[in-house]
Amino acid sequence: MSGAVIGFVCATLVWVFLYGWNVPLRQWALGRALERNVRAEIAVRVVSSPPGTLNAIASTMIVTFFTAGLLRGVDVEFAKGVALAGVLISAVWPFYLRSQTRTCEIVVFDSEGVTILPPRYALVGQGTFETRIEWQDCFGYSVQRGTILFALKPLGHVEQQYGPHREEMERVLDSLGVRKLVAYDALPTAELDRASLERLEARLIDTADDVIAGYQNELLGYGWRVEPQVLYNEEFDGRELREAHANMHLALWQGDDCVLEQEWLIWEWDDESVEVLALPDDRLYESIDDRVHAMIEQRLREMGKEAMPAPRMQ
Amino acid sequence: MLETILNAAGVLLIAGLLAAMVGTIAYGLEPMWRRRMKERIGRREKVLHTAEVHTELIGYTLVKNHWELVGWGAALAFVWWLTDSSGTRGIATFAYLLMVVRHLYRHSAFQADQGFVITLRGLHLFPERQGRPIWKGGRHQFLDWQEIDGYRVDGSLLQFFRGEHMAVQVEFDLPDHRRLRELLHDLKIPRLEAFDRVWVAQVDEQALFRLEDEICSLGWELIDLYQEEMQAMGLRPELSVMRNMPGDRLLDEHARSWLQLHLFHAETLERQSVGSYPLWQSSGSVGYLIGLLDQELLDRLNEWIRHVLHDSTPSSKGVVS
Repeated sequence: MSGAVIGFVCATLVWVFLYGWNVPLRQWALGRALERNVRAEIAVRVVSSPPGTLNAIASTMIVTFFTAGLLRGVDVEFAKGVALAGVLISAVWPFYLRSQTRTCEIVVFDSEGVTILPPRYALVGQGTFETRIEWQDCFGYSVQRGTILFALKPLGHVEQQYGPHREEMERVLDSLGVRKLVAYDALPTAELDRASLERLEARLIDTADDVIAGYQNELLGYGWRVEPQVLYNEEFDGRELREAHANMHLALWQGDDCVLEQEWLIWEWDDESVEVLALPDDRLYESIDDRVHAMIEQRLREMGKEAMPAPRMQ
Repeated sequence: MLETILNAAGVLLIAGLLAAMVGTIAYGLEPMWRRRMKERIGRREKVLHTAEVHTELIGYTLVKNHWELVGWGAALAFVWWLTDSSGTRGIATFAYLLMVVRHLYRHSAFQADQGFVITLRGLHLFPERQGRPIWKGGRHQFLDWQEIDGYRVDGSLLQFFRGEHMAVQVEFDLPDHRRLRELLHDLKIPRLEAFDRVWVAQVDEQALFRLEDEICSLGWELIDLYQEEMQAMGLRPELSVMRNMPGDRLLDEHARSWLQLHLFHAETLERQSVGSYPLWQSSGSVGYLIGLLDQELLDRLNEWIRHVLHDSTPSSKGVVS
């Protein structure tokens, strides 16, 4: 084998060992994670812009050409090979730095737990390439400012960025039965637009209608009706909108009199953040059901009657 | 041939011994050193509590990564193939084995151990090493009780404050929680807050119910002291633990429990006064649990009961002359 080939192979191997080998290893780790009973695989882009490609190319050139210069005295052919490898590596850098391996964190949810594969910067000198939380060790989750917080038993929590995949991740977690600990998500304002808030309000009203329909017989028996409604409240600082919130308003009507009312915060918005009610469907139903039930009970108590077992028809 | 093999074995042996020695000195002496330090502290001061706490999160698995060793192993093989000089081979082998020893020590469990010793004079803290070599300092910290204004509990951390600033925080094992609070109480280190901030998942519901009952019966005992005064005022007390959650789901979001004291008029049964004293509050993931003990708790409860009682007497709003 000629010296040039050996030099080329050696220098390339060094790069492959330090960086390139990460690509197949990540694929292998991902494949292993996907062997479980997987529900969802979500790639979160952690590095938004590819890190200094020019920098990487320049350093590679300097190192390889300098090494080649030193080796020229020993073996000219070998030095040529090293220099050639430098050129090849420089050509590969942009692809590597833009690859999913380098820029994305992959989160794999399965029925037993969640596997997180952080982006790989370098094979040597980076700590761990894989972390995992089993649902049996997980107390529940909450959402705050770009991260999902997995609370552990008995203590501590682990932060996981969700990128643009918040709704997807929440849906998966709900379907896996991981409990949501805090009903309100605290999000950066930019993450929610008016339309999604309106969708949420509509969903709440629909659910409330469902709940009230379940009490219809009982309500008719007493001559009452319950009406859900969304109420807005906006505060202005001069002409600037400073703070806004929306409540779900439940009112118990007896004839033309509103005898009981109750409010429940749906979302609250200010310049920096928006807190928004985010519960899975079943818990949303449950929460509204609790409220309607409590109103009926209270009204019955007020009227000096014992609450009768609800004559509910399914 | 035999000579070559013996030669190689000799290089490996010497390099291995040297690497093990250097690596152990740099990374592996911590447990022994810590043990001896604790013994020395025990000889000099009166030790009240000593603990070694593993600080890694339970349930969070970090998959270990051994690729470093594999890669550098390949580099070592390349060096052996490249040269016949036993000097170069020896140095390369030593470097590699040193890395292996370092790797083993850095991935061993004791790197996440944090030790502390509470003595009459102060707190000795041995922070976790987290794989730092011996020449990276911060192995032992001492905190004199004189310098401390108070402490509070945050999760499994005891945080000691000097004025506004946190001087030191120490992680403890959860079963030691109560014992440590009693200890610090005996040492007369003030609590900065009446409540411990805890992770909801670390709260045992049964223990919480027991605590509520305990405090409630303590409250009844205190009310007995006011029996005469209450009779004179014609009041009948009623003290109970209240919870705002149906089904006693105390760990849920917004769950609270508190002591409630009602004072009724003995004859008319009309409510004269009511007061509540918070015991527990949950925000879903973090909770606030009353952390007062013994005398301190008695004092606060006593003050509260007196306040509720005197709130109910109309004559107490007298004119100050």
